[in-house]
Amino acid sequence: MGADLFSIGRSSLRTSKKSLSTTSHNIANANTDGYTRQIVVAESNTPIQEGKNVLGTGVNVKTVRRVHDRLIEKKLNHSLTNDSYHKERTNQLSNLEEIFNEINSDGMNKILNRFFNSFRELSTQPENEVVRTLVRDNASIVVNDFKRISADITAVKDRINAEIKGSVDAINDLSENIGKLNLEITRLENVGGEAGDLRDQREAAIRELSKFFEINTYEDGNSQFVVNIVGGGSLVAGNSINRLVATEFAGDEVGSYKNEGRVEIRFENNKASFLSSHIKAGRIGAALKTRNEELGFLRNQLDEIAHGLVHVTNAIHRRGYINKKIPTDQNGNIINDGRLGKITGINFFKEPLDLERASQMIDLSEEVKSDLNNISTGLEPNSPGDNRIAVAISKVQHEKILGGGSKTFEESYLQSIGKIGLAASKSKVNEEQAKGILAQAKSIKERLSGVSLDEEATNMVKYQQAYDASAKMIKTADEMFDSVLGMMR
Amino acid sequence: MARVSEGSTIHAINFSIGKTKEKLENLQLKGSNLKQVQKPSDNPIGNMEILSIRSKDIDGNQYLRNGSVAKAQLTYTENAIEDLTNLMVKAKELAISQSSNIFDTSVRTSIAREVGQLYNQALGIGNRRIGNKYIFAGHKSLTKPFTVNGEYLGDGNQTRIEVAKDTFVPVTFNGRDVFFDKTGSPVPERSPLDNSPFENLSNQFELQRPEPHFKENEPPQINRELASSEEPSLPDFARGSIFSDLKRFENALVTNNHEIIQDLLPSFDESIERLVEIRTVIGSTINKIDTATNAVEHNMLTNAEYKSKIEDADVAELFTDLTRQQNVLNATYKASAQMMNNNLMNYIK
Repeated sequence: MGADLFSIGRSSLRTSKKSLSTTSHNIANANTDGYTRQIVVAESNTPIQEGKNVLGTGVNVKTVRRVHDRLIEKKLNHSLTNDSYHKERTNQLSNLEEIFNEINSDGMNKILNRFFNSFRELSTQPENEVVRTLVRDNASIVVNDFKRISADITAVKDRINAEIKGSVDAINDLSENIGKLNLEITRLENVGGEAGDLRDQREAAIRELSKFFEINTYEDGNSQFVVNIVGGGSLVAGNSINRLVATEFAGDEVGSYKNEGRVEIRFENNKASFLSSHIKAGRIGAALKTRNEELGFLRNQLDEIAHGLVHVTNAIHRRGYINKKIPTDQNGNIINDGRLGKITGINFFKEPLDLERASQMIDLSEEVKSDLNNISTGLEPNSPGDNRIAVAISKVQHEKILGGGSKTFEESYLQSIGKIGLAASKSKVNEEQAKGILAQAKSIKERLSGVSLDEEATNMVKYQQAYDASAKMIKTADEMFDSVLGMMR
Repeated sequence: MARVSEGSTIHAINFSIGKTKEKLENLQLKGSNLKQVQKPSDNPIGNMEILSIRSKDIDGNQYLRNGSVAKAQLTYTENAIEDLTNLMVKAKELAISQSSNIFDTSVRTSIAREVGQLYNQALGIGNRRIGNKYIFAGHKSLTKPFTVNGEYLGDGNQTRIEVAKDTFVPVTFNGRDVFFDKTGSPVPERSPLDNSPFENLSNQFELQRPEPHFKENEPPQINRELASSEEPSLPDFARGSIFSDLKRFENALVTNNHEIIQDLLPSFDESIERLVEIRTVIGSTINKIDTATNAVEHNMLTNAEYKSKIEDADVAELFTDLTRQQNVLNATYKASAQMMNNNLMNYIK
């Protein structure tokens, strides 16, 4: 009997010690990100029968369980995807709207307006050289601002492309990591080992992946852990991984300059199709959407405005004559001996100008750059007081020229900013909401799987007392054994 | 009972502090420049309106400047024409006094000299300038319009400028209209916007033509280019002018031809009448500019008010919010400190 007391006591000691060490592990990891608390599942040993009586034989540790719920984890991953999508959208759109923010500074709208008003000023004193300087200066500012916006848009585009490239590297690293962990977990669990902490690591990697795009995980029939990109294909299956590559395109490769330097994602082993057209969620989804929709839209709008401005201004300006004395015969016919160069038909802005890159390539014409008197105000030669060309150009400001005659330049420009502003403000609201949902999902997970120090403190006391009691039990058994031995003397 | 873990507590604390601080930061930014709209996304539609109003503001200032330029030019021109009118009245008085055949040769000679003076004065008026600009030269504003013989070198054009959106007013009167008899040739005026190549750009694209510069109830003679083109066209030298009249008057005095002097009287009357009419036109144009300028100023004021409504923050509300948000933050800190510094471990000794 005594021997049984000893073994029961020993099993109790062992279980209490294991429980205490698990408690200690939990406390140690109380602040470890992604740690799932563990609890010892104890089980009473198989009882033995002695005659009519059934006698207990102590306790053993059945398993150390992770307190974890697959559905909660899935919800968290989804919230992460959603949150990083909106975060990235807001980030990119804020970058974009800053380019067009002229609340506290001068922007394209004001500059374009000043350009037209400088012609209006010129129309009051067409003879004046100083005002011509003003016109040319304002026109150069317009040119520079088109170029600035164009360059800023390109910079945002480059940043997005660089980010996609960088993401692909990070994703490949994570995939590799998951593949390795899969291998480890299977090996450990096949021999009955505890892989709780490795599973935590794998879940952390999955969470990181979820930030890039929406993913879906499951264990297949052969207990292989599979990671799929939703709508994209399999990224990891067991320990085999499907690497991604980012390919940069040259301008003409995708058919137009607008796509110059564009980065697309493909699977390394399937280069035929773009993965990027299937990714709609997560950070990559947001980056792609912003690049393909808003950036493309803005560039088109800007090019259209620049092109329209150049075209219309030139069409009017070409009708005018230079502000110089042009020799005529007695009947008033012009004698053009070529000494004055071109006397009419002069472009104000440089032509030809490709619509596709208008905002990037816009410039003043060589004639206007080299000589202020090449800025025409008069519709007739030798008429310094003739302001009709200047008036006509100033009137372009209020004409509905773009969009098939439905919008003025200003309206078109403001609509573009409005669209970006709306998208940015919508995205901010969404981000706020996604942040809330994510916080909630995290909190649900933490409530279930997180370590509570209060709880661990209670457990510590509980297991310590159990340990003390077991020790006492062994001591009692020992004394009992001693008493029996003493009888012999 | 929901389980609370260290992690969920920390998340909750971070989330609530983060949110409160973000709100506070936004309010602080608004407080720093008292603007409600900091970037397009704060109020996308409002931002569009603000920018559009700012444009109208710049336009408005330009229109006001144009208006004052126009007024200055017109006033200057009016002074010149007033001087010319006085001169013609003087000429007419002399003509009346010398229209009978009773005369004194010495008086006539001295009057002839006086008329010669008047001629030179008229020439001076005809060649007046603002800065380097001849006011009576039409578009050829840098060419001296009248030769010593009264020959006109300018053209029949008139410069118009915009003093309010789509409101154009004439700012110059050419020598032909002012100094020559009315029976002149209509100078075909091409609008800068006629047959322009850009009309084909888009069917919709048609620039605003400057409106006819005078209404029906205003004297029509300045409107010659809009008159019937059937009228026979006469070259300048074949038409009577103030200069030719004065010259004839002077010659008639020298040659003692009182019939010619009598003949000239209606012509002087006509000239005076014409000058008075032009002055009326200038007067009404200045009125038109004043009206337009007032309208522009009024619009600018209304726009500024509207813009302020969209753009400017409500100071009282802003600072109330700011104080409230600060209190919220303090409360959050206090509550968080309570949560963070306490657990069972502290009580187990």
